[in-house]
Amino acid sequence: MLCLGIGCWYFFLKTITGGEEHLGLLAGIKHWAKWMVEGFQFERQDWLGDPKWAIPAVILPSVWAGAGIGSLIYLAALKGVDDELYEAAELDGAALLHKVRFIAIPTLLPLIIINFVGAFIGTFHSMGNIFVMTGGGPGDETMVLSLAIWYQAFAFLNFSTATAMAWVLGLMLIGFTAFQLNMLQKVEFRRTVTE
Amino acid sequence: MQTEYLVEQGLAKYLLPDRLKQAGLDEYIDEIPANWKHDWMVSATNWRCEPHCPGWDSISTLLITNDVTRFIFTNKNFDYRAALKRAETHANNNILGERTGAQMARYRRIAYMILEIVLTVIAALGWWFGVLIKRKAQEATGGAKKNVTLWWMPWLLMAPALLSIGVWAYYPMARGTLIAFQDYKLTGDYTWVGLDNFIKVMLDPKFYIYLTKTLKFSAMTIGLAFFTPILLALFLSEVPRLKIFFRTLYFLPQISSSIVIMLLWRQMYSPSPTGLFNQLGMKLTEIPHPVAIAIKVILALIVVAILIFPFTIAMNAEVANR
Repeated sequence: MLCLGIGCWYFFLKTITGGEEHLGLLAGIKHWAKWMVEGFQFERQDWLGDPKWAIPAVILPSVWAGAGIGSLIYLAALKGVDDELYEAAELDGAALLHKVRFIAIPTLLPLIIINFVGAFIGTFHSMGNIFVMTGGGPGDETMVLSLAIWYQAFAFLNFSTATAMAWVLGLMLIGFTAFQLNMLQKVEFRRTVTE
Repeated sequence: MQTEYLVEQGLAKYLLPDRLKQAGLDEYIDEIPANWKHDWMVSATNWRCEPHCPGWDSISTLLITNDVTRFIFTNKNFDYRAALKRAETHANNNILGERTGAQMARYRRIAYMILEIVLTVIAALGWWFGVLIKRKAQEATGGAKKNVTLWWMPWLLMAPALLSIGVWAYYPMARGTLIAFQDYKLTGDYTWVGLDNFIKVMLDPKFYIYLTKTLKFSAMTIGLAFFTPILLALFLSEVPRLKIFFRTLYFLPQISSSIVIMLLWRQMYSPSPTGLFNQLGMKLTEIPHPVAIAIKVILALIVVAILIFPFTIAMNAEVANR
C-alpha cells in the first residue's frame, strides 16, 4: 500500500515538475530553488489538449465528484468508534497521530480494503468521463483500454475485436476478482453504531 | 431546394459557390469571403476520394488522426514521414491482417496453448472456491447434514431470481462471447475464425500502449481519488463545529449528474483565456513578488508535511510499540 502511495506521488510530482526530462536530484533542487525565489509565472495552458496535463485533468473532476460521498461512508464508520476509546487513549498520553494510527485506521481498514479492490477494478472499466472530456486524445494519451474497446465496437463496428479485447481485459482482472471475493468472505458485517 | 432553404436561413456564405450558381442565386456569391472562395477552389480541384476498405474508419482515426495529424499541428519538428510509415505497416499487419498462412498457423498453435493454460487456471480457481464455499457451509451447519425432505423446494424458491439473472445477465454475456470467435458483421453472414481475433489483439502494438495508459490512469486515479476521501473523513471527524454544514457541502456534488459535472469541468479547462483555470493562472501572475514568495514557502511546507505524514505515523507507532 505504501509503495503504491509513493508510486502515485512519484507520478504526480513528475507530472508537475516537468514531465519527460529527468532533472536529477541536484538539478531538481536547483529548479525548485529557482522556482521559490521567482514570482508566479503562468502561460496559457491547453489543459485537455496537452499530453502533460491530460490525465490529471481528466482525473480531477472525478476526484472532486467522488470524494464527498466516499468520505461520508468513512465518516459513518468513524462515528461508530466509541468516544470512550479516544478518552482512554488520551489518558494514556496519545497524541492526535497516535489516535489516527491506532484507532481510526484500524476501524477503517476493512472498509478501505473492500473499497480498494472495488475501486481498482472500477478504474479499469471507467471510460465515460474520459470519453466526455478528451475522447482519448491528445494522440493516444488518455486512450484507456475500455475506451479503445468502445471505439472498436461502436465507432469502427469491429465487434469481434472489441469482444476479444474485453475478454483479455477481463481475464487480467480475474485475479483481483478472486481476491475481492476471498476478502468479502472474511469480513463480517456489523452495525457500526451501538445503542 | 436544400440550397434555397439554407440561403433563406441566412447561411449563404457557408455554401459552395458552384451550388449557389446552380440554384441561380449568383448575387449571394459576393457574400462569401475571398479567402474562403479560394479554399473552396483549391479543394475542388485537388480533391481525392478517401480509399474504402474494411477497417478504414479505424485506420483513419487511430493511425492517421491520433498518431499523425494531431502532432503535425502541435509539434513543428514532428517527423511525419516516419509516423506515416509506422501507420502503414501497422495497418497492413494488424487491421488488414496481411499475415502469411504459416505465420498465422504458428500463432494459432501458441494461442491454443495459452487458452488451455487460462482455462486450467480458471477451472482451478473455480474448484478452490467450491471447496471454500463447501467448508463455509459445513461450518454453518456444524458438519451435520440437515434432513431436507423436499430437496427441490429451495431451488423452486430461488428459481425466479436465478432465471432473471440467467436470462438478463449470463445469456447475453455468453451470446456476446461467441462474437469474439467469429468474424462478426452487423448484416450478412459470419464465419467462425477460432482465436484469430485474440491473436490480432495480442499482436497489436496499440493494445500494449492502451494497457500502459490504463495502468497509469488507474494508478493515478487510485492515488488521487481513493485516499482523498479517507483524509477528508479524518479531517471532518476532527472538525469541532458546523459538522452538518460540511457534510452537506461534501454531499452536494453527488446530486448533480456526472455528465453535467464533466461538461462543467470541460468548460473550466477551456484553452482560451476565458477558461476558469487559465483565468486563475493569469490572476496568479499579478500577485506582487514578496507575497508570491510567501505563498510559495507556505505551499512548500504543506507539501513537505503531507509527504512526511505517513512516515511520522510509522515512527510514532514504533515509539509506542517499544
